[in-house]
Amino acid sequence: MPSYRDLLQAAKASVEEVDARRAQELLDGGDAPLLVDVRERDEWEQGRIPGSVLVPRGNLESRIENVAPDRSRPVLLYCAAGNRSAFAAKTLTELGYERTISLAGGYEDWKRSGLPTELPRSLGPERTTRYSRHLLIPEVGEEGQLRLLDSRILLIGAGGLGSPAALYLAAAGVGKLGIVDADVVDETNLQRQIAHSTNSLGEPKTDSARRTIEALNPDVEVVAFRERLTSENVERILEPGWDVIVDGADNFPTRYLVNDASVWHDIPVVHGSIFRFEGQVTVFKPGDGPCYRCLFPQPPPPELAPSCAEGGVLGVLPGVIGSIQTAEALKLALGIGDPLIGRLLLYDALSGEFQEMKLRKDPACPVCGEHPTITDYIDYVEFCAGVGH
Amino acid sequence: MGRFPALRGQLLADDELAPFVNVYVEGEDVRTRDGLETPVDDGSTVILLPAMAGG
Repeated sequence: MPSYRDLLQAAKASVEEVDARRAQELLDGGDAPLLVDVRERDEWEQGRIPGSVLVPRGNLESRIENVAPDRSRPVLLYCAAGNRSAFAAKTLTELGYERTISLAGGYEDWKRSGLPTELPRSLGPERTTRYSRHLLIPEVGEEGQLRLLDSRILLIGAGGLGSPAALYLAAAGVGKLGIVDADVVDETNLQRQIAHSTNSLGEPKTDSARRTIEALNPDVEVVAFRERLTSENVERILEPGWDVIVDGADNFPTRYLVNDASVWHDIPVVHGSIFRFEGQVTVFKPGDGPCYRCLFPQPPPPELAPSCAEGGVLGVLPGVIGSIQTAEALKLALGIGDPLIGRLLLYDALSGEFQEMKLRKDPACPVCGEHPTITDYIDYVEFCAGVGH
Repeated sequence: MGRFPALRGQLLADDELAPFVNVYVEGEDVRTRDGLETPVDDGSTVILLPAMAGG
């Protein structure tokens, strides 16, 4: 019967082994291998080789395809001393990986050779539990969750669309949430604005939303702006730096202002709007697709575009649209998937149908076009009052 | 618009599509095709996309 030593020798003899210096050359060269750390999580948390992904050897067979779907790409494996990685390399060869390499001497030899290491950040036990359903998704994982905790998302409006967005972004662990809203909670809001409650009637929406968010997830820092977004305050509000803007405003002047500011600051906007049974969602990403002005160069005359206060809205509709906006915002923050850039999703609650439309960048757009004619904030209220039509 | 004359005033300005209205035939903006002359086949979907500000 073969001993451990026999098995190890057989594994080492059957796989390609390199020393730390050679591994470094491979990683720096063209067609660089994927670097996989097959140690246990507690070892990984003590330090690792930069650029490596953690796949403990016990999970190797089940998880490797998630991190290395392309079997023709070389895989460089390491553990502490080069034994587990030799077995792992042998396993990957059996799984059809074309070139698997084991770092002889492992992480210890890498460190001894004076090559760079890093101490990975880790979520810690409490956050690992709180975000466990995210951590199980390969596209998110610990790195993605850390990225969410580092991300900064600005909500324009804490009303129908802003409420579900605030709740789900907070629950997802977005580290910093800005909220711009000048209103106070009134009774007519409560049919749909789920970040607020009967207890918060009469309170500023920013305060009410902050309390709801903090109760849901203490990881989130709320930055409240109890004011209406205007040409005068927009630069101050954008000053802290935001990765994504979620536009849930309730009026055209703010929509155009958000658009112009986002183009000039190069911040993607997840746009949502609602009326009665219908909602629209799209992503305006400067440089990558059209902007709001490409889609709607001019606002409609007020009599053709009643607001929800005038025409009503089904209470759950902002829940649907605000949640889709949140999914888009999280995708942008994580850098995953296909955001709704250059595509507009139209939802009709009555027919129960989604339609998708293609949006195109307008080369003659006055803000994001080839020869912009609007390069500074204008009077948006006047622009939307029909002056100049 | 022959069937719904009231739409004319809401969709057109100077006999052109108003700048705050977008019309899509099979998901494509008619402005990128033949404008108001864009052919509509039997059974194809026409969507009038209004600008809405509600949130």
